[in-house]
Amino acid sequence: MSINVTGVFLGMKHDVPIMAEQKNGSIINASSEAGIIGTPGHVLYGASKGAVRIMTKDGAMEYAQADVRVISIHPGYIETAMADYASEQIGRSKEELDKTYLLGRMGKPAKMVLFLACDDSSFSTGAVSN
Amino acid sequence: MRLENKVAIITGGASGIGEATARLFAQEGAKVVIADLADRGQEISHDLIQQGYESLFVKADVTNEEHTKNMIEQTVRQFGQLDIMFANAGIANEANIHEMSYEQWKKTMDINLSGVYLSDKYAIEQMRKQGTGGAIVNSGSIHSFVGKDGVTAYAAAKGGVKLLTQTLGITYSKEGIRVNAVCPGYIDTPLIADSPKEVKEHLVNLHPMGRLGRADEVAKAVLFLASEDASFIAGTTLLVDGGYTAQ
Repeated sequence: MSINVTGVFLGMKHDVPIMAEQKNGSIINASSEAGIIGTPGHVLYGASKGAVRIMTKDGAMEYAQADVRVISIHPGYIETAMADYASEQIGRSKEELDKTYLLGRMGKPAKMVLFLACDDSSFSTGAVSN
Repeated sequence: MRLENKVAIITGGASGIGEATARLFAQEGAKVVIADLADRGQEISHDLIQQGYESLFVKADVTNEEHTKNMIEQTVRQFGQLDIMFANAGIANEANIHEMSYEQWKKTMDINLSGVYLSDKYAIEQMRKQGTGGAIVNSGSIHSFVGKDGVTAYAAAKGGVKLLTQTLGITYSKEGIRVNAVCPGYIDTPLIADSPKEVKEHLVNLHPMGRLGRADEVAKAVLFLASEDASFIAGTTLLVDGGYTAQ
């Protein structure tokens, strides 16, 4: 909770005043698919990511008219060190995790964040998918 | 360029979000087929060609199965393949249910939901035949998620588009065909341009950003979903709503 929720809260708390003053800014908070749907064995992680999802909507409402967009992303397993760690923790190989996705593989980071950070997404705030 | 050598069909491409997307896709390297009942689609297609892009206009009613098949056939005859379908054609023709005729209901459902079904069906058939995968973007709405008084048939149809998108995303992603939906808030397009001033003001006030969206802002989201930038995104929705559904 300290890292996943309070960390996001502190980031927003100190970013937003600067962005509101300059009347421009995008905040992208890292939630997860576990912030939308339940997953066995993920009660703490899921609760923290659910909190990020709603904090994001609150922030979006508060600062929309200051042209500060606040958006959460909800990735599945992404090819990162955290996925390696999760794979060990839950005792499922990366190949098994690949097969849980209809596209047959884990995702790759960054392009969605770029889209949300730049002006291509200038009318999106609060949610990109409900 | 993010759509180099891709062939894209945009239904309802003669105005509003469809026109903005057609122009953006062309700038990003796509060969653009504008499918619409309105002859203005021909003018836009000519304009794109004069700017050095490749384009084709097909006069098509998306509720007519033969027209939809013909739209795909003409595209493949002209450009050899189909990579992207933006099933965008739609109408807004609203009334409370007790004042809505069955004809009004059927017209909205035919264009906004069955039209998407037909466009997706024949696009997917072609993409499977090619074996090249593809990207489909359906036109949803904030009313795929939330209702509003008087938005009767429109919300029913757009709710259907959301679940159709999810189902097709599940069914065809293993074949490399990604199906997603873009879900705009109220956009300053011809669909609402003729609304009285007080209605427009009411709509503006519904968006936390305090304004309506622009067609180009939706076009950029469609581009993202249609491009390889969204290569791990399937069966989902992308809200472009100025915070409308965060409330």
